[in-house]
Amino acid sequence: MSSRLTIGLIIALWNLPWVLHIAGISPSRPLNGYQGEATPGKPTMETIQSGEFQSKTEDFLRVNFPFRPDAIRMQHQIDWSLFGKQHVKSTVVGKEGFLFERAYVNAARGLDPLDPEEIQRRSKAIKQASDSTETPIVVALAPGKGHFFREFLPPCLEAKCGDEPNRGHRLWKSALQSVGIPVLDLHSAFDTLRIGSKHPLFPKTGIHWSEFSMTQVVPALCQAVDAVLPVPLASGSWHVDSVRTTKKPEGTDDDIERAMNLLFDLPDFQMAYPVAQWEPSPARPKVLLVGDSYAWTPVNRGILRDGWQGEFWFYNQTAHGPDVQTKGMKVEARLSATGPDFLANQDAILLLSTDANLSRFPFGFAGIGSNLPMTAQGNASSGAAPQGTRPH
Amino acid sequence: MVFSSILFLLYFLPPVLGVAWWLSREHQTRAANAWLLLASLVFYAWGAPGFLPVLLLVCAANHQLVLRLHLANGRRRKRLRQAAVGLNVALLVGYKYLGFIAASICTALGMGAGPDLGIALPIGISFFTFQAISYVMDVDRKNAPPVDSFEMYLVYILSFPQMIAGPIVRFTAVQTELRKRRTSIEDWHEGAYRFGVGLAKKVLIANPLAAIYPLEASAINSTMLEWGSAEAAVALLAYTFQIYFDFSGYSDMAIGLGRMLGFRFPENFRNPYLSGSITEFWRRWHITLGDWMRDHLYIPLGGNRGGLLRTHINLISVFAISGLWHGASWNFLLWGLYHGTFLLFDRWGLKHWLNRRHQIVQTGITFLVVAIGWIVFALPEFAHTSEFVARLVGKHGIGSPHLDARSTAVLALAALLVFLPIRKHLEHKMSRSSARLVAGTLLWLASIVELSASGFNPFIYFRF
Repeated sequence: MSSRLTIGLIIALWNLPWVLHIAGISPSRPLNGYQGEATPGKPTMETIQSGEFQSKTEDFLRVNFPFRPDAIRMQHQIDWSLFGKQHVKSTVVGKEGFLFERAYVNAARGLDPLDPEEIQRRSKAIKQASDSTETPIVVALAPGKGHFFREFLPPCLEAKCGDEPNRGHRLWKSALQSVGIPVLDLHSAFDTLRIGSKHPLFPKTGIHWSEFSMTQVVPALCQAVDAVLPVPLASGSWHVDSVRTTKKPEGTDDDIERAMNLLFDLPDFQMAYPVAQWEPSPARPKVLLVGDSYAWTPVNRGILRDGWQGEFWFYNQTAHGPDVQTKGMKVEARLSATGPDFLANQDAILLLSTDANLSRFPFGFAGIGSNLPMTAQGNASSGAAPQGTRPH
Repeated sequence: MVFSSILFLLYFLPPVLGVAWWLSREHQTRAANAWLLLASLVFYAWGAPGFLPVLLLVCAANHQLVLRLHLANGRRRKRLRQAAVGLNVALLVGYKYLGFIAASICTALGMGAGPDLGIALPIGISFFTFQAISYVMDVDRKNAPPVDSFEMYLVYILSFPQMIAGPIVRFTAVQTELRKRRTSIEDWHEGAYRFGVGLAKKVLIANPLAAIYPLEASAINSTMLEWGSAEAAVALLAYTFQIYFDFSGYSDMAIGLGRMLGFRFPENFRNPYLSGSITEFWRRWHITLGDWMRDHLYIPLGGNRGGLLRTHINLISVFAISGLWHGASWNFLLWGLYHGTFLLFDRWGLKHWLNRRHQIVQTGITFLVVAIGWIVFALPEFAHTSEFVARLVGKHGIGSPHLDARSTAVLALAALLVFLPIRKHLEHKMSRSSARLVAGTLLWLASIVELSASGFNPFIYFRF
């Protein structure tokens, strides 16, 4: 091939991105993780003179040009392979390739913002809410990955070490029990389970407890609710028929790794996925589950529909469940639709949080605290921006 | 629109080069000039739409003045030359220095900071005014006849590869190419390679260096307050390398683009940090500015022909103006005077003393002098400069810099490229120009990959 033709070919290839962009063709697999979008500038005399049109257009093209996802994956892979550097917000790389979200590292090390007096106040408020609605409230303290894999946390140089590991878990458990709220301590239970478990209870490259851990969690949640229910109400039974294993994590088991947007998969555990059935109960209780993203795992296993007649309020912000008609309905709208007696009409209320979110627990439920982390002054509604990672 | 932006690299340059390649194939200089002019007008209008009409008007005035100057003699010729030069100087002073002059006068008279004149600095004004003056002088001195048309003059002044950040191109260097040029295969290969090298210098080295302990005013009130002498030393080293790779990278890109478009722009940097004296440094750093200052300022002032004192005054004046050319601020003037002073030291015996030392000692001392000068260049406020120097000399302890692996690698690579003839060795190995085309393309791709990911720092989930 002549040199001139080679040059022409290279120039033609160089023109490919803008041609594909105008043609609306996007050849790359989209990136994972939320980043935010850029909108193109609107060309008016004013915006052109001020430079607003130009800067917006440049931002838009920078974020939307074809092949950008491939370029980003390549750059991330280079940074990761050569320098061990990753680009996901609030993610910490531990030993042996274990990935953590910073909030979990902070919780494990007792560095999360907590006020013992505020925790006591909120615990009393939870008890009052239970008494005033005549509805039993159970609190499930879920394990956090930072504590579960504490031996793989990064050295303290990167993430400062506090003096009181798992401070949040201990303060909340003690405060809740002191006011008579039943506590399902999955945080401590997982410490025992991790030694003998046949399959991983937490993934290496994901945030949440594993799908396999549901073989312990789902029955435990059902039992905790049943323990506060009057006879003859009882949750459905979840029976595991078999367990399927795979080297390729599924669902949220590698959500941190996916957000890293690498070219090649990271080494992971052999993960296990239970194949299970619900045995319905003749009198399933109405249960309101209020919790963080750890609650999604049992919810996705059908606990709302088959274990209970349930509903899930994600961070007390959006309502989800078989009876919620509008997807992602705001909790305020849900309460307006269902009426003021909604909480009193539940057979039980289950509040669930992992250790990383205990600073915001119970997420403003029943007007207790708010969805912002508590501060050292104990002002839960200080309006300060959430610390660490985004909630999930 | 900067060269190292996605907009330029993937949306502007490819179609411009595509058409230019087609036109070069057909050897149509006039059409090539028209295309280059159109692209340059779009390029400039994108960055400074409000100033474009003013720029075109000034270009028209310049062009007419020089046409008349060329045909004039005696006093009329002198007046036309003064008018043409004065027009460009007035433009530069008005847009770039008026605010600084007003503020300085107000400060001196105890009237505070002075009024905000609200004059926006047009991009590239320092370069194209100097280029315009260079054209006036070349025609006046009969080094070259004037351009054939206003269009050709605009191509010379506004050509986008070099109008924003140089190199300052003398009219005599490109007058033949403006009238008739062919772009050979080798020009495309060499141009693509040079552009890729420049882009890589900017994106893969200069940009990461800028993130290592940034030496800038915004860091003064935050991160710099935690620095000991070690951090300050790393910051200074990183900045010293950063400014070289940034500036020389831009020059490489301009030269590479020019080559692909059929022009041979002059070199602007020649391993300046290997210099054995400040005198030598200024023959290797921003060469085109040095040449311009010598030909249009130093020599007209008398050069070294008016005796020792006059020579010294001329040198200091030229460097003071060189310093101010970089920015309308006292620190730039000081930086210029700092270098001018060392040039005098060279003449008083320092250069002679250095020449009797080992090359490493010569280079080391010169590098140190230049690096210290960058402190004044980088920090406009005297309070910031003194704060930094205090930290550098250890008044706040030694400290311990924490550099991640990537930053350490970039710093090490920068040092190797600056002090060792790695590039020369590699280029020698790539004797075939097609190998350089491949190398340039790979560097370009690597830079795109780096640019794509910068600022991509996602959250794992989007939930309020």
